Amino acid sequence: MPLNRGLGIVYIAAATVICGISIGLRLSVPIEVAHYVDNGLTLPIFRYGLLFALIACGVVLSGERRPIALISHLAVLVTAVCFGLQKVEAIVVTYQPLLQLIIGYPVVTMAMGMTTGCALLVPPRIRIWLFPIVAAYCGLGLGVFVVLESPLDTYYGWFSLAGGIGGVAVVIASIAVTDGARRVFTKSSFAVTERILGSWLVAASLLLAALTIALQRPLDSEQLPAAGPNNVDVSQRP
Amino acid sequence: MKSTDDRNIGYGAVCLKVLIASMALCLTPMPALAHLQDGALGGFQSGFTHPIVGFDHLLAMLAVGIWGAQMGGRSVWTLPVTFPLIMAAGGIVGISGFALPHVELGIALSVIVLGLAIAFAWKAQEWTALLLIATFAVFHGYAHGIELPQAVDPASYSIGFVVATGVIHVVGIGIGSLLARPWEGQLSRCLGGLIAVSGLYFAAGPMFS
Repeated sequence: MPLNRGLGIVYIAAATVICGISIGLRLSVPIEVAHYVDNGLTLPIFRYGLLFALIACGVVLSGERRPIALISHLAVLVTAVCFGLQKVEAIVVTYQPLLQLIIGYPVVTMAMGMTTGCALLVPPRIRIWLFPIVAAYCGLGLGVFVVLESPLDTYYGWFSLAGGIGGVAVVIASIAVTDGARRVFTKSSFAVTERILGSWLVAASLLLAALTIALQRPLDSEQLPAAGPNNVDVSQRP
Repeated sequence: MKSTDDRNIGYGAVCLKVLIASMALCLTPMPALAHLQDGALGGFQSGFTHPIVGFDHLLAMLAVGIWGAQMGGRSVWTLPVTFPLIMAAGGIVGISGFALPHVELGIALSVIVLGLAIAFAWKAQEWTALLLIATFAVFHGYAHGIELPQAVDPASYSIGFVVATGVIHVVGIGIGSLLARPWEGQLSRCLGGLIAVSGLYFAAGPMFS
């Protein structure tokens, strides 16, 4: 495979930016917030479903060979993460049945796995059109997942922000490593590995969907956060 | 004679392979040991080790990869891709509580048939091979599916065993590709024979119990 200096520059720039932001964030926060940032940054690594979906997202996006297009896909990913962190939380919390569904079941990672898995299973000529969709969907999923995993206290914003950065870092690392692997392995062997990864993700998502229906164990409504002033129990007032 | 540049590229390729393998290992999450992961049905670790420790599953899945590599062409990927997808369908049947008879015998039969297919270097038509693989995958998936709801963390358990299945297939493809050339593939066929004999051992259990 010929050298693509443009893509190399994109990887180096993306890695530098993400490392710079992570280190800057970690150093600039007060000491009592530090462990929220640490836990947020490592969150995507310790959630298997999310980790595999993000790695698969990177594998899908690594198929983009045009540097400008790759930058635009990464921009879509980051925008979707920010949207997920900022806006979706409010939307989801407002609609209690939706919140109950997302908290009670692994819906977010299941949908991410299914999307990335299907993208890896389709032929490369069709996959090109799926790059922005996969980036947007995975970004949104990451944002929602991190927000819902955040601790319910004063510093949850730092945790969410760090979680979003950690997730984007996993995707960028996955893109770069996959591109490296593309150069080492033959095209046919790489295509086989991509499709097997896709089949893993779809199979795991199907099983999670079946488990979700079979187990039927949503959380009690008492465990859900309040949706707003309308949820105040007036009977308990003095 | 290779030039210095060629040697450097070769060395670089080896380094990159080692780097990728190391990074993949680093990305492998370590479960919190305080959780209930030690039982037979824990979380990711338990699900991942289940197909590897169970030799009947291991041999059948290895055989799928080896047979695919032996047949060549599209079969290199269609067989190992079909297996986990249909296995998931079998898993869903297991989760639903449907009683599938003779599961252990079906799994043993899969080891025998796939081993024989490799031993005789059977160049089956693609649809025949896929149908065979799909039938056997249902039994393997079912065996996992009935256990899934009892797992401590069913979601992580299912991800673990699906990933392990894929890894075994990749290893199988690797073995099949490596053994395809020496002695005109005779090594690969011998391995298939050994797998088939192992399958007879697994079949003896359910048949005489």
